[in-house]
Amino acid sequence: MADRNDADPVKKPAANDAALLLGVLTLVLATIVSVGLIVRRNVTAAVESGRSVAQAQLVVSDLANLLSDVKDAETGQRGFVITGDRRYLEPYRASLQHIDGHLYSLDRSIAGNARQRRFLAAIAPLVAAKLAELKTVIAARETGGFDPAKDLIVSNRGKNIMDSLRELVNRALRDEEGILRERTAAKAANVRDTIRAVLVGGFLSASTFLLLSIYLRIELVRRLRSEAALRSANTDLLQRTKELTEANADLDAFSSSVAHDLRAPIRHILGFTELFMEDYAPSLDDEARRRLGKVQDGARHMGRLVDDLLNLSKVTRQAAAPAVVSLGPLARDVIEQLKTEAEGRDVDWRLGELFEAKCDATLMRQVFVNLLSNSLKYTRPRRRAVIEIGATTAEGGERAVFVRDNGVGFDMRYADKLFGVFQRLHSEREFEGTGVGLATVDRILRKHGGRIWAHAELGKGATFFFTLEKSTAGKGES
Amino acid sequence: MTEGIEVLIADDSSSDVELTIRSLRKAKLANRIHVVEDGAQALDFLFCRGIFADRSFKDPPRVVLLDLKMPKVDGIQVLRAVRGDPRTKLIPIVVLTSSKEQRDVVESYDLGVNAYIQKPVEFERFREVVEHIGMFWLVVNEPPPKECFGRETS
Repeated sequence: MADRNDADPVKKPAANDAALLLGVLTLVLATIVSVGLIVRRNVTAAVESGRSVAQAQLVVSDLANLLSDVKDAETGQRGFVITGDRRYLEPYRASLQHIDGHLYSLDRSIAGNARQRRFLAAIAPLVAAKLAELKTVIAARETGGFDPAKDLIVSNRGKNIMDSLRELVNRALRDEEGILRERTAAKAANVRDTIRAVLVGGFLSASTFLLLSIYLRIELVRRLRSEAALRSANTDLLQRTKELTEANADLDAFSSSVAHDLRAPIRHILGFTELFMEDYAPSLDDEARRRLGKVQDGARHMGRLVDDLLNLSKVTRQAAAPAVVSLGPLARDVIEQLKTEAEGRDVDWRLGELFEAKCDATLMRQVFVNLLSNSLKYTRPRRRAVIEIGATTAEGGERAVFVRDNGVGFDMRYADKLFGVFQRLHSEREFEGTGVGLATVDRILRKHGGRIWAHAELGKGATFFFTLEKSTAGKGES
Repeated sequence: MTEGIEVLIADDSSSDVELTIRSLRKAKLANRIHVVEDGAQALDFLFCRGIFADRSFKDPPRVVLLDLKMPKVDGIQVLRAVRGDPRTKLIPIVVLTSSKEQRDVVESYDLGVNAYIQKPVEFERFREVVEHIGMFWLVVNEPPPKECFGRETS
């Protein structure tokens, strides 16, 4: 009967699943949070580097323009020096304004940048010097004419300053451009990183979800399968129950019709042998009467068997109607009923205190009738029969009732046959009986969830114990 | 010769019938007994038709001993028919059967039977029971007056 492979509906405990789900969700959440943090950091950095790139570009453009404007001023000055035409001073003056503007702009954009400040600190005086030189030359031309101006120019003072300025500015420009390239590359790398982080995070989450959904699907399929197995097992069970119920109903009908049909012939045997003995009394000798008596005995026994068997099957089939019954009064009632049967005999009935139990009163009455009738029967050889009924406690702690008599007892070696159907431990010659009485009692008690057992000593007596409830602690007597 | 019948026995078992009659006779109780062996004949007798057309409704038996399990028409059907007709409904009927099935007992009383008796298996007892029935219905009991029978309406 090993089908453990088959869907064991209760395979994975729910706690396991919940923990797994929680773990996976936590992982996914952690991934998303991490990716989020990375992106935030990168974006902040990107924004920052974008700003510094813009700034560098501004500085570069300002420096370039500065230089260009200084050159323009120089050109203006030269033109004026050569022609003496005041119109060449226009571009010169315009440039001066631009130069001021660029210097101001540079000052502002450089702000706290130490490196750039150093450059500006070097460039600004040079620009100032150059402009001062230009101004001097122009003033010389205005007042002294061409030659003094020319002399000043030829002295190369202005040129030297210009050269230094140009060199410095170019250096600054190269520097800035280098920084710019670096920053741009960093920014690109940053973007790549961010994208990569997002992709990895996304991939991880997606694949986790995918795995989870695969797992859940597998679980779902497994659950559905075991549910289907359970359902089919249930259907089988219902089918089996239906079959059993029908079989029981058939048996019911059979046994009742058997009982009915058997009674009539038994009655006829008994009736007609009786009439025969009456009507032909003179022709019958003792032996004839004895034999006819045997015929009647057989028929009577058959009748009792039929009745007992019918009773046994009714007890098995019948649904018990449990109520709280006080066993003491019930036992007393049965004793009274049996007293008429025991008329003429010396019977000491000792009824102790019994208890209340949840049971079917009709069935329990039968238990007492059977047990006490037995006690009466098997104490017949005794001059004084002592039949004792009382309460006790069984091995498993259950409450029990005992029926003790001082009758002929039985051989304990055959005790396990006591409650079998048609099993007897005494011959028909010694004591009449059908061997169904105790089987009936056993069925009744098992129906109540209790049990019956007995102890006896051949020639001394027998004690029958029974309980009406299950043991509260493990197994009692077997 | 079916006038003045005191006991109508409806039973398909000739053996049971014989035992019953013996018991009644032994108790010197019934001289006028008629036996029918199935429900159809019982109804013909009680409703004065068929081969019993010359019977009178005003001459019912003092008691009917009715077996339940009979061929053609069973005891319950006879009971129902007799109790359902004003002309016959007061006739005392005692069910005398092997069955002690709850179902049969309930249904019989439901239909208004006067008594329900399970035939004992032990002959002494059987004899006693039949004597009792006979004593009661033929001697002790006061039967309904003849005018009650054969009326179209009750």
